[in-house]
Amino acid sequence: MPDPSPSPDIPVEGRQIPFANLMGTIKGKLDQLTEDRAMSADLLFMTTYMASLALANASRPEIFSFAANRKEYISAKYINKVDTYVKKWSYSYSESLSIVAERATNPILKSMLNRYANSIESGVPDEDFLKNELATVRSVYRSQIEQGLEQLKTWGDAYIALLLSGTVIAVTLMISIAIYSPAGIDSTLNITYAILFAIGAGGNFMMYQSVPNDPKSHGLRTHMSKEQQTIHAMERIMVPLTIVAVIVLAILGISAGLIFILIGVLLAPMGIIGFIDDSNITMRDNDFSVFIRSLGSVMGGQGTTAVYAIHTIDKKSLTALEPLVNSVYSKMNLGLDDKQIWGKFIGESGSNYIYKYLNIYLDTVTLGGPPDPIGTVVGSSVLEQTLLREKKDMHSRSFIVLLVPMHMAMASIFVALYRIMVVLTGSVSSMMQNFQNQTAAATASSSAGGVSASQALGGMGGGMTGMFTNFPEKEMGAFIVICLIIITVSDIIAAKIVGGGDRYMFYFYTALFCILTGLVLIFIPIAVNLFFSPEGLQNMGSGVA
Amino acid sequence: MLCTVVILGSILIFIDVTLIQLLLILIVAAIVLPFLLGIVTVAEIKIYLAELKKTGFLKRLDDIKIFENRAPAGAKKDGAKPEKAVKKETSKPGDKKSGFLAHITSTITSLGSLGTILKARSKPGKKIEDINKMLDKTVSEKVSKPAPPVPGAAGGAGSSDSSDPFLSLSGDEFDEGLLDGLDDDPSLASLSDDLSPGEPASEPPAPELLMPSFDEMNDSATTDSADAGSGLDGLSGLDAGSELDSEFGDLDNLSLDDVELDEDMADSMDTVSADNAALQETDTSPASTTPSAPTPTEVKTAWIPSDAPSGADNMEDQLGIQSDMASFAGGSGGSDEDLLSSIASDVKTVTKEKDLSLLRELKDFKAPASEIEDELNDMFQKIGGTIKEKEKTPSSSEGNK
Repeated sequence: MPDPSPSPDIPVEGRQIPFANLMGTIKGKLDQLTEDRAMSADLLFMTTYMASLALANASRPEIFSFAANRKEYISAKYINKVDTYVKKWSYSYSESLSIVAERATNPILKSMLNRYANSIESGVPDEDFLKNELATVRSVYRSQIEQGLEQLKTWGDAYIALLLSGTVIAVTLMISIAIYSPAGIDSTLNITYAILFAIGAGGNFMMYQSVPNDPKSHGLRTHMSKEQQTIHAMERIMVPLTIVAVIVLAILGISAGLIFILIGVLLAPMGIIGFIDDSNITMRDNDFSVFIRSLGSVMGGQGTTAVYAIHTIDKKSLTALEPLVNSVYSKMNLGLDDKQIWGKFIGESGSNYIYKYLNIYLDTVTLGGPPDPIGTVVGSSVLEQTLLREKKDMHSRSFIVLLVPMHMAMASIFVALYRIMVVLTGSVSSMMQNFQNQTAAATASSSAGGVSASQALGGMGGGMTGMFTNFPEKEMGAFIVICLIIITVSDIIAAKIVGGGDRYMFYFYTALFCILTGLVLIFIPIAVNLFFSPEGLQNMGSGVA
Repeated sequence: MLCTVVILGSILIFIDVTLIQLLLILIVAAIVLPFLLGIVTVAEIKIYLAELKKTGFLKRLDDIKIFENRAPAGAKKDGAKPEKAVKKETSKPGDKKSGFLAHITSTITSLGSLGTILKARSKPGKKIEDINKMLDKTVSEKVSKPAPPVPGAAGGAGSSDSSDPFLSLSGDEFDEGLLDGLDDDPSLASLSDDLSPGEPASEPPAPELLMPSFDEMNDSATTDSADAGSGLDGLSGLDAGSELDSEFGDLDNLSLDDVELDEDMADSMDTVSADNAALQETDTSPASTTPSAPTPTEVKTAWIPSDAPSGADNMEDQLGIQSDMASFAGGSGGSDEDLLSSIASDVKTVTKEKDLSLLRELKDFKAPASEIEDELNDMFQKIGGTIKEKEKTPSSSEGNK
């Protein structure tokens, strides 16, 4: 009889190395989170594409096959599954859609796939369904964005309020330490760091959850806008050098304010170029809606090719896209390959919308679709997204306009109070020292008997000796710098989350907030010393004595 | 660079650093600053090193054999010249701006546009209400697929005609509003009387008929349709009846014995002659200008609602179908895709209607399929004979959409 015990070679089910799949699980969840955030916009791209294909009289297999091959859409992998079930496993489209919908976790995608399955089952033509679905997806997208904006507004206000509260806690702790000079202040300071960190992390996470996902740049590496090229070339050198410079300067003991300013100055060029690229992309996207509609109208109305249509359309209205359109026109006139020309156009525009939508138009028109309605469909979808982006920009701008002065205010409160505490404790210490000296002299010279007034004052002074005298200046200086670092980093992330844009916007916000923090760290002590000088306090103290 | 050095120096004034620290900072700044300012990039250094190797300078250094006899001075001079030439050649490929220059130029251009961007940003933007209005308009915007182009349309009142046979066959394209003026026109009273109730009205004839013997007839129909009043738009083709009259009148003079025809053709011509007789009879009536009213059994529109004129007879119907099919086969699209798409649309439409009705019927009943089948079979047997005849025409007309 064979031994029932399992062979050592065969892995026993249930025995796994602890945390072996932890990273995989976390990565999967993060991917799912990212996918969920991007899905509503992605479904709009996909539905627009499928509706345009239907307008081009593409058959159902063609619609699914073309849509599955559009790898730039996240939902393409689900459509690819449907296509595979049909073509390789011989399921019907309705069954395949139902199967994929059952396994999809994203509720919007699930709903859309189920609707499609039902419509196919009930015999609704694809064109009718996709037209209606496009309207539905647009409405859903708009609703989601507006809902997200409302949440963002609330969480933005809450974030600033919470951060201000964190600052107040930190300041209160600092004053308490100045007054009472407790022995072990490390744990107290650590609690403050934890509070500020929790506020920053929590607030940023909530804003990240609520803010509508709107990647502005296409992220292609083959062709990029010139600003993106410059940033890409600079960041490979500047970022490591900045890190090295910060470490070296910190080791050398250079003032934190100067280090902040140095970081800001080093990253500012990339930040400014990034800001320019971001603004250009916004303007190009706004123009693209007009351009694609005009192109479709002219191509459809006059029955011309793209070259003549581009020549015909009014380019004066395309302020941001005009140079790129002119470039396309001249290249087409030279007889260069259309695919490459449009690829370069997409790359140089730097825009995600142009990347996603121009391919829809080109694909479906190449398939023989009517350019006019396809241009209208594509243009409408772009217009909706750009309008919603404009709306979001208004909210994000107001948030950043509020965040910047609040950041300055918080940093100023920290630094000013710290400086005041330093001056005050220094003055009080010297005052108490003078007072004790005078008291001792008076005691020695006075005759014995009774309790003199000076003795009484000396007793009171002795009671107050511990207050405002042993202020741990060095530790509190480090405390202020660490708190400011936490707040600055948190504000940079918050601004990037709310403001959106490509990765290079981090450079812009980093430069902005670091320079502001550095200026506060350098100039606020000077300003405090002007209005709150130790000499004045000492004079006041000696006058009292 | 100058600005950076000045700024760095100014900053260093405020810092109390030791000499060693200052030297370290200066060294770091001297190495780092060119990279930071984009004056030099790593890629450029790599390219430069690669070019240096290509120039042969290092190779030459390697090739130098110290213990060999020195070459003559003239030869040395000759050797130096090609080196310079090579250097020049290597520098020429850098006609296109070097990486640094390209980046600087693009950066300057970008910074130049900063003012424009800031101006654009400072402009008062749209209000949220405006954006919402535009969004409402955009989201609710419906796209209608344009009808296929109409080459050689009859113009005027007959412009709704299309050469696309499937457009004319499509029930969706039929506009009942075209018949609005029909009841008011006394000249058409007799025609409307002859039409069976519930029978769909017909559109003017398709302009393209491929049978050569009927070309003139079509031309006249088209011409007349152009002259027709607005109330008669939908039936403008009916005016062709008078012309048909004369045409068919000529046909009467033919002796059929002299002409050899196929059986089918002979049958159809018989029908034509019979209709001509009917047309001649209508000529004597007050509404003689109107075409003869077709008999219900002969009218093609009973199953294809929008193709042929109501005045057309069976022969015309058949010819219309033939022309449709012919133009379909070699028509505007002329490809298999048209055929497939039209068949696909037929299937879709039929399936849609049938499925919907079935779903509606079955929605509230929870009965086994066998019972439903039995019931339907019984029902079918009871009314099968009549249904068969009646159903045949609408389903086939729907099927041709």
